[in-house]
Formats: sequence, C-alpha cells, structure tokens
Amino acid sequence: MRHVSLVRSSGFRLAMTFCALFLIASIIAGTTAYSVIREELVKRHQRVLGEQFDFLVSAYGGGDIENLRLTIEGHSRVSRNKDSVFLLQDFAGKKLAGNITTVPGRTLEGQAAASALGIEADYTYFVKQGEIGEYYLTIATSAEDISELEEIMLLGAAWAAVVLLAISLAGGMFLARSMDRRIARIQDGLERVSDGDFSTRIATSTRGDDIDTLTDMMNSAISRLGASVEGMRQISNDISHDLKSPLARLRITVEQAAENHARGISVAPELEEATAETDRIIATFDALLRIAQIETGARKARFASTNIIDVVTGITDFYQTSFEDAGMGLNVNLPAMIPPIVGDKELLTQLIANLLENALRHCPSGARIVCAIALQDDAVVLMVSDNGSGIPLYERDKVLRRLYRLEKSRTTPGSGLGLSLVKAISDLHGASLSLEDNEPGLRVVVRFPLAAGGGAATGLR
Amino acid sequence: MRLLLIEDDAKLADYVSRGFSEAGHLCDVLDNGQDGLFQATRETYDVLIVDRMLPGLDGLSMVKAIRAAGNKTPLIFLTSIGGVDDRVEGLEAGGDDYLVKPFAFSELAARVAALARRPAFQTEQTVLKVHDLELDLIRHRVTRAGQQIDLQPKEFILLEVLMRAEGRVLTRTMLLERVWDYHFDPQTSVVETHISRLRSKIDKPFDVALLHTVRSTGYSLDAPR
Repeated sequence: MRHVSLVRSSGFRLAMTFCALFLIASIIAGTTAYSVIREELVKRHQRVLGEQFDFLVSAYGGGDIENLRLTIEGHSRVSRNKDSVFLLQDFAGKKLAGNITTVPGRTLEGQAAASALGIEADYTYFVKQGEIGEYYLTIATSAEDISELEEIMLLGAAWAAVVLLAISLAGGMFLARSMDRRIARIQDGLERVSDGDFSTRIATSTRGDDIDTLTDMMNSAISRLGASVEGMRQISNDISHDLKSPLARLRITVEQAAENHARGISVAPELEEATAETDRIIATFDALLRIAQIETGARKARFASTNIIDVVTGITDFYQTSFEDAGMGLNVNLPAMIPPIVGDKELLTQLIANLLENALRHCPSGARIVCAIALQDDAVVLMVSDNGSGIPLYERDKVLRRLYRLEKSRTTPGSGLGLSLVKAISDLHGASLSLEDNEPGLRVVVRFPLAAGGGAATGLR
Repeated sequence: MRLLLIEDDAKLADYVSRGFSEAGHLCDVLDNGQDGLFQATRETYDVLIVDRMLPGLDGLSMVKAIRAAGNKTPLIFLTSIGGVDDRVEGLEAGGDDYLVKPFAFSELAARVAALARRPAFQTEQTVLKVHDLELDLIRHRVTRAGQQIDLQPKEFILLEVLMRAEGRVLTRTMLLERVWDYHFDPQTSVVETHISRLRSKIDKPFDVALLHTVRSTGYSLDAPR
C-alpha cells in the first residue's frame, strides 16, 4: 500500500483550508466588533470630560475661585486611584488644586500617555484643557477600560484560535484518514491494473458520492481496457499460431525450389505453390486487419439509412449460381417492406456474403440454404440457415473467435475469419449475433434493433 | 504508354517499372511527393501510379495538388492500407482507381491499361461488337452470328464490361467492382461461376471461343486472330 503523507492528503488540506478561511473570517469579525466598541468608549470618555468641564465652569460661576478649588479638591479626593485627573493652575503655572503635579503648558489634547500627566501607568488618558476666568484647568480620564477591552478581546481571540485549530486539525486528520482509506483502495486497484491484472474491480462505498461515481467509471474503464488488451493478446496469439504454419510451409516450398534449382530441375511448380501460399497469408492478414479496423468503430462515421432488402437481394442474386453449381438450393425469403436500418451497406453486404460463403463451403451437396429477413419485436432480423451438419453446441462460442476453425473443417479452404468478421460487423451495428440449431443444420441470426440505441433507424414514416 | 510511378519502396518501384518496360511501355520512377508533383504537372503522361505513403509530400496531398492544377491524367493509388475508408478518401482526393499492396503485377497492369483507355469510352456507342458477337445497349439485346442470346440482367452487364474492354484483361476484383459494385474479396470462386455461365451462353454453342481465361489473372474477350 502506498500512503501519501498527512499534509499532502487532500482531506487534510481541505480541512486546513477551511480552518484558515474561518480564522480570517473570525479576525475580520473580531476587529470590526472591537473597533465599534472602542469608538463608543472613546465617545463616552469625551462626553464625560465635556460634561465635567462644564460642571467645573459653572462651579467657578462669575469668579468664585474658592468654590472651584474646593470642588476640584473634592473630586480629586474621590478619585484616589487616578481614574480621573484634575489640575487647576493660574496663568503663571502655579498649581491651585488637583491630584497631579504640574503639567507643562497647554500642549495636551485628545489622548495622552500617562507619563505626560506625571502618572506611572501603562494606559493612556483622555485630556481636556481650557481656561476658566483667570485660571487654567486640565482634566483627564484614564483609558484603562479601553486597554482592558483590548486585552480581553486579544485573549479571547487567542483562545478561540487555539480551540479552532485543535478542532480543525482533529477533523482534518479524521477526514484525511477516511479519504486516505478510500484513495488507498483506488490506488491499490490501479496498481494491480498496471501490473496487468484487469480482473481487478475497485470496491465502492455505500455512500454513492462523487468518489463512488469516479470509482464506477474507473471500473468500467478497467473492464474495457481489459477486454481490448485481451483482444490484442488473442490476435497476436492467433497470428503466431495460424500464420506461422503457412509461413513454415512457404519456407519449405522455397527451400525445395532452391534444392531443385541446384539439381537443374524446373522450379515452376514450387514457385506457383509459393505464390498461392503467399496469397493465402495475405488474405488472412487482410481479414485480420479488416476486423481490427471494424472493431475500432471508425466506420460508424459512414453509417447511413440502408434498406437491408436491397442488400440481401443483390448478394443472394450474386451467389445464386454458385449454390446451383454446388448442387445446393438457396431460397430467399423477404417481406415486401421493412424499416431501414442505419448501417454501412458495404459491411452489411460483406456480412451476408460471409454467411453465404460459409454455407457454400461447409454444407454437403443437396443442402438447402434459406436467407430470410423479418421484423420481430422492434428488430430487423436477418437469418441464414442451412440443413447441413451444423456446429456442435460446445464449439458455437469458439467459432466467433478469430482464426478458429472446427476440427473437421481444417481441410476445407478458408481463413477461419469469416464468422469473426460477421461478429465484428454485427457488433459495430449494435446487432446481436447468435448461432442456433436449425435441427438439423446451423441457423445464424442477426438482430438489428430498431429505434433506441444500436444504430438502427426509427422506422418507416 | 508513358507512365509515371511515384513510389519510395525501391524494390517495388523497380519490379513495377521493369514489368511495364518489358511490356513495351515507358515508366518514369520518382521516390517522393515534391518531385512527383513537379514532374506530373510538367510532363504529359498516360497514367500516374502513386503510392499513398510518400516521404515529404504524402500521396493524397500530392494528388489533390495535381488535380487542383487542372491536370486530369488518370491516376491509380497504391497503398498498404486496405480499409474502405482509405479507398473512398483516395477516390475523393482525385484518384481514379485504387490497388492494395501487396498486389500481383498483372492486376496493376490490367488496371493501368483500363485507365489509359478510359477517355476513349466517352464516345457513346450504342452497339458493341466483337467478332460476330453484338450487344445492343438500346434494345438490350445480344446476338452472335445473328442468333439471339438470352442473358440475365447481371450477365448482360458482365458482357458489356468485358466487351468494352475488348482485348484487355479484366481481373476478378475489377469485374467485382464494375459489374456488382462489390469491394470485398470472395473466398469462393463466385466470379468464375458467373463467367462460366456467360461462357456457356455466348461461346459454347459456337465454334470460336471469344471469352478467354487469363491464367492467375482474369478474363478477356478477344476476337480470334
């Protein structure tokens, strides 16, 4: 089993991405909330300062400096921990009342550091300064609450981030594990396939999700790949088996010719034999290539609406004399009308020709062959039957294979590719091909489905 | 005949050109598409023989270019690709005939001869005549030495094709294509059967044979010399 590392697993990455996105969203939301609250607090501080200043101005009245001094002293006493700061000075800078020592000049405005007011603290102050009569008043409130807010928010955010990270890490690992198990199954399957085992099927879960769909598609790709590899393997086997022996015969003939030539004997018969043998090899090779070409399905581009009755009439007429000369009877049984099928006229002609030639070659003199077309349950059915010796049940599947020939037919001419070609052509047309017992004899049935799929036309208008 | 063979397989080119030379024809050989295109448009030939797979300019493109230049010299394709699609492609590109490798020289010679004579067919004859055999295309009637012969529709076409090619060999596949429009290779002697039927009607009852079998090649209809 080949595992990817945790960080590279897509499940984990997904969880981490979501975690990061969530963090960013939380930071934005927190920052917004913080700045809104902070602004509110700042406004409140400024309002309080303004109100206090106005109150002290009214305490001064028209010039009651003693009242103002006493009021400030009172306020100062109440604010011992210096939440609020008061300082009343005359214009010379001399302190008259307040809870801080002298503040230099009138430089402070808005927010100021605690040190500027001579206080030791790590937070800032909101400051308001102004003249009251002949005096100068400085008041300030500490911004400690804002500093506290900042601290609380930061701490809260830090904890939230930690918890979030922990949860998403755990979740990510869980997701990664379960994804990894499923991906590992697919990897294992594909590894077996690349090792050449095309019978492998990757197990799917019961979830029916996208990964299952993907797995199903992979399985069907594997099975089709397997079928085509099997086809290739078979054809190369066939070629090596069935082309090797004629090649060996050809070689012997040529050697014989060379020998005869050396002895001064005429080599004409050997050369003629070699030519004939070469022609047979070429014919076999052509047929194999033709089947391969048909099986690729490229010819579907040339499909057109075809009247099968015309095809049958033409080709049976073509072979009629051959059957007569062989002492056989060929009967053609056609309906007056049949829906057209979508197909390749040349290939359909070849299909019927191959079936007729098979009958011609393998049936004894006196045999009766029937070629018929019929419409059966939404299918155009082509039947070629004979009352010859037929094909034994156990050999019926095998005869559709390339180059397979019945044991007893080894001595009759033919490449053994006729029925393979018929099969390839009927497959291309989406038709089903079956070999049936005609009791006695063989009945070949090709069913071209009409309408839905299979490349057949929708019928007569 | 003056022929131009454009084929890059030196051995095959030599075999073909030697064959034509021995038969008394002149056969120029080129081994690539560019030279072929140049030569075919510059000189006048009776038939062009073109391999489909050529180095440089491939055969199909070369023929398209030759035809685009208005050159109508009869042309036959040689190919190792034997599919029907390829045949149709070749004919659509402007080829007049098509022969799949490996082939017998006699088959190529028969086809080239047929192509070279093709323009002569344009003059529309209504009665074909070979020795004492007459075929009337209008009245659909065949007579020999004044005696009427009854032929099946396909037999009539078969005879017509043979008579039009009087004195020349027609191969089995040529007959299959021209009479029946079939492009497959029957594994049985079905063409021979049709020929022997025809022969029994036009030759057997008479003392001089006109329809001859050319060994391992095909058939020809000849007046006796």
